[in-house]
Amino acid sequence: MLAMAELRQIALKMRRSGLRDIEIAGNHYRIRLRCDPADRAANPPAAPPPVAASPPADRMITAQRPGIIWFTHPLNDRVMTKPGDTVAAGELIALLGIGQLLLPVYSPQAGMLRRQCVANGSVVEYGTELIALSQGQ
Amino acid sequence: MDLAQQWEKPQLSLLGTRALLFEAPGPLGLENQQRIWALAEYADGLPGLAESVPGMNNLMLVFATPPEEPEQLFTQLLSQWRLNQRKTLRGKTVELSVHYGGEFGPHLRDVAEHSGLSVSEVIARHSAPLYPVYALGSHPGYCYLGNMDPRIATPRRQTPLISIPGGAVSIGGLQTGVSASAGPSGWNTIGHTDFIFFDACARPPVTLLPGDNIVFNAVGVSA
Amino acid sequence: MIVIEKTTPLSSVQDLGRAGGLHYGVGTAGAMDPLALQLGNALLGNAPNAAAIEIPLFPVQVRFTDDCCFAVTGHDGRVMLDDVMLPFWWSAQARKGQRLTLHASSRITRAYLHLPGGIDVPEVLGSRSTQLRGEFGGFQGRGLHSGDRLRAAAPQQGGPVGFGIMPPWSALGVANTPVPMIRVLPAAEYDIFTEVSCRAFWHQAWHITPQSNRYGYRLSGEPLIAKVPLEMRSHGIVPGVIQVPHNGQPIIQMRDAQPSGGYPKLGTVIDADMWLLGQIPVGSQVRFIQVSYQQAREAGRQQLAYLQNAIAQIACHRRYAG
Repeated sequence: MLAMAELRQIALKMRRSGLRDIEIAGNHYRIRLRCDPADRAANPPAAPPPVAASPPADRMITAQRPGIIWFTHPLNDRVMTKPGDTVAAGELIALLGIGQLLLPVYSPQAGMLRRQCVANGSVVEYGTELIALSQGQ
Repeated sequence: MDLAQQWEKPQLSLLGTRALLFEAPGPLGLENQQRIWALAEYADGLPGLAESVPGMNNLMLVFATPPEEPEQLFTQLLSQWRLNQRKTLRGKTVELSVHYGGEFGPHLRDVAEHSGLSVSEVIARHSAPLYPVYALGSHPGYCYLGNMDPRIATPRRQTPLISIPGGAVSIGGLQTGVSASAGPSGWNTIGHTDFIFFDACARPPVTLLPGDNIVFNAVGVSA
Repeated sequence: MIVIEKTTPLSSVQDLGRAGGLHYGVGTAGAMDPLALQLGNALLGNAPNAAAIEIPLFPVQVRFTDDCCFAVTGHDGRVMLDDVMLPFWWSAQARKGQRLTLHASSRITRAYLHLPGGIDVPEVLGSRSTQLRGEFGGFQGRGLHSGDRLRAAAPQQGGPVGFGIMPPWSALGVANTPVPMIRVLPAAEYDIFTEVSCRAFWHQAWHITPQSNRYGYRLSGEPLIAKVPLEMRSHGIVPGVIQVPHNGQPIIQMRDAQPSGGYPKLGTVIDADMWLLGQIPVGSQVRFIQVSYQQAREAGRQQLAYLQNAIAQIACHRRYAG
């Protein structure tokens, strides 16, 4: 089964390479991606970013799938993380609820949690910005 | 007050959605118990029932799944009861050596006081009869016995005790019995025996079954 | 394999209980919170009836003697794997030598510790539950002590860990009521109690006394008076039956209760609410609400549907994740 992250990668590559149609078949699934040529004209591949001389910008931690985001546990409102907390790479910072499941949201790197971008208990989509992480110490 | 003696017909009631209870009317006796054993055998064949559990002139039927219309099942059981079928079980007779009174019979005097008899009369009346095993229940291997002399009937205690030891010989209301292992009890404990009633590895795991009989043999008395 | 390093003797091995032994006087035993047991088993890919360790008093500490996955369900007390706090109702991977410490929750009593395949103890009379009275089943027929070693029945059973589920307290909306409401069906002797007593039973908030345990929950409140004193013949009972002895203080029969009794029965707690009752802490309060047989039956059906749905979602995630 392909994860959403992989599909996004494929879509980005399609747009950059000019490939219009792609079909992927697996054991129990078939996926077809089509890239609209008008979209490519309106959104040309981005130029490489300028070399940064200023300190690194906040990194946005985004939802990897749709669900309900919990910064405090829904059972007893115990706070998992809050703005101002310093976190390590791989540390659990929130839970994403999908149906009855609660899936972990881990911090991709060390840093300090700056602000929550959505309210506790909100419905989020794939790619919704959840929390800003300031990089560096 | 023994309500069952006043009923004209059996009483049927529900225990939540998990079981029903069938209680026979009239005085507590072996004939009713034989009718209960027959009804239990009939119920074993009914769909939707997980287990038949005879008690003292009563029967609990545990549901596999809660029936849609329990009233229909009630009617069915009442009709079967009216057929007056009896199951006679002929088992073995076992003698239990009992030490009455003392440390392991703390309520012997309470029974004497309640009945207005002397301690030795209570012991004599308790150890005289042949007690048929009506049913097992309460805890693993415990036998509910019929035939106790009503002169020594004593109500269950105001507050149940947290623990009495295995082998405790007790009286509760119109009944007598022997604990098969340590545990709580609301009965009046009058003596002790070393007899083994249960072994989880044996088949069946119990030493005595409905239809067997017990006699109590007084081998010692402590004042 | 795990070694128990700290526990009270009240921790015990339980599965869903022992069936078919009532006519030998063998009660069901089994988990006080069967929802937690089954959901925790699902997290690890165990059969729903696999045995777990039920823990009502804390702290409890175990050490893993091998790499092993595990899950903790039931309560919302702190769960620490070495010095890392895990979310509750969660599965995780432990490495050899790591210590798992469970702490108390102030509002939910029991935790369940699950191992892959369930706790490996012999089946006795069809179940792995501990039969305390009679001392058989579970781990050597007794509660656990420090030094006890317990094995997983299927240590190689793999699958993704590091995820959890919404606890029934949230999913079933229980967490919202300040005093839990427990649904009760009146029983045969309901009518022998005075009208004042019956009203008191439904209206007052009952206190769960410290004498409450797996045998029974002893409640205190305004005494319930029978119109006539009754001597009842011993008859079969099931967990959930509410008995009223002479002192008028009700006792709710729980999983280790005697399978028969002779006290008047005022009512029976419905099956669907037994898990909740089993989790309400000693010292807190409970109220009762009257329901009909059909309502009780419907509640059971709804709960089964919820459970099957949650288990299916977990199984689906285990199959396709990672």
